[in-house]
Amino acid sequence: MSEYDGQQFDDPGLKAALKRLYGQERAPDALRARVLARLSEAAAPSEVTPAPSEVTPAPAARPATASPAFWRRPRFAYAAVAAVLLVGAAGLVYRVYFTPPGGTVTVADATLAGMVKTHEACCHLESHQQYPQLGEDFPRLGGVMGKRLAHPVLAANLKGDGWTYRGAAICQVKGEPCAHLLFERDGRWVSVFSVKGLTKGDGPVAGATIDGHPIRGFVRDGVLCAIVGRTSQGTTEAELEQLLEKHKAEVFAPAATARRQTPPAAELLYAVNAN
Amino acid sequence: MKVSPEQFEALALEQMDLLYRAARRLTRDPGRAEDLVQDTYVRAFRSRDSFNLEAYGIRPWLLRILHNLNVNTAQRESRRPMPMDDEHLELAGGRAPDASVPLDPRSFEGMDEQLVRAIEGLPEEYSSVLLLWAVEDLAYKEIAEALEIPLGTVMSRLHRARQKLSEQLRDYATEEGYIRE
Repeated sequence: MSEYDGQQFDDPGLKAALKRLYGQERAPDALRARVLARLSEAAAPSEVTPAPSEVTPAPAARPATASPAFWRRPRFAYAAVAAVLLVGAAGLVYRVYFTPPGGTVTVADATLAGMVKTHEACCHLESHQQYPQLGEDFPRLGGVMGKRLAHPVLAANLKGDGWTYRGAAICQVKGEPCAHLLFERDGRWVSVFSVKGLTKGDGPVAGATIDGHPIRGFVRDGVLCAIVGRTSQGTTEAELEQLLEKHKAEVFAPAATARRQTPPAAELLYAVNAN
Repeated sequence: MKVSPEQFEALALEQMDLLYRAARRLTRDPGRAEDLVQDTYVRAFRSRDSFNLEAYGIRPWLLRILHNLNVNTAQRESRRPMPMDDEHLELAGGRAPDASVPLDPRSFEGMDEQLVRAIEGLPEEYSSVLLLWAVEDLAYKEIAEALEIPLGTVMSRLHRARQKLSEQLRDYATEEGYIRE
């Protein structure tokens, strides 16, 4: 350990802002498949070559008895790539042709997982307050965020249900910008999302629990509005269902007039003023 | 500490998001970023016998490979004559460097956009240190190992990066009335 490790300065505001902007990008699934395939090829003994000296010292020879793990074998890797492509294509076909009109909307697991990821990432940020100047004026918040996103926003005010508002920000779900409100109650967190372009058809979303996170929502005018919690914190599907039912009308259209929307990103100003 | 091939691969594959983000920042092109990450894994895999698991884990080692590969690629490309189209000639002719940087599609109006612009306008050596520290939570020592620079240089670059950001954002914040001069 370095003597400097205990002396590292911290700047939580700047870190939070940069994490929100840059930290949510994930490697595409196709890249994972490509890497696995290439590693399988590289694992073939005839192809093992020493690394150039500028990167690392030359590797020792691979033991003759070493047997590659099954997923490193080329045949498995190609099969995995084919399977990923097949599943992707099947998912696309299902989404386009089998969304029941007027019935329950099925949202792709990847989209739901994307919401869960963003929920978990944002719960751990120092600050999720991108709109401190709007306070807890939820209709205005919905309008302002809606104007930035060019679609209606579910700005549900859960305060009456015992939840504390922990801020709102423009975040991302599967690369799409979304409105994201965070609430906390006794160490439990819930997120309220509004995101467009990830679903087809309008209607209530089929209830789902992804990776221990119950999700309830609906799609209106192509905008997926959903509430996400975490089962291990004690949040139940029934509770989210109730919250959604009570607040589903709190969808606000984009503000018609506004000065240039400039959420001050309080955390960023902290950084500006810190110097 | 030596690790088994299986452990090595498990450790390495866990870092794919981090490597992809770093590659995106270095190449500013999704396709090239994917190629760079893939080459990094292949290189790391071939050199895995030389890897020793130390206190900070595998991240600095992988990032060092990625950065070296990127530098090598850039050097190779700079030696190769490239045809320039009209658009590139125009850009080379006089537009300010930060104006030629396309805004990241994730950016929005207002402060976020300003911050992205300011980061994009930083010299690469500053933005790399800043983002490894802020986004990836790397310690100074890890950054020093990853970028193969002295610890003091990490600290000074981080300081300069924050100073430059502050300078660039101060005008905007003042104009918008967020802070007073």
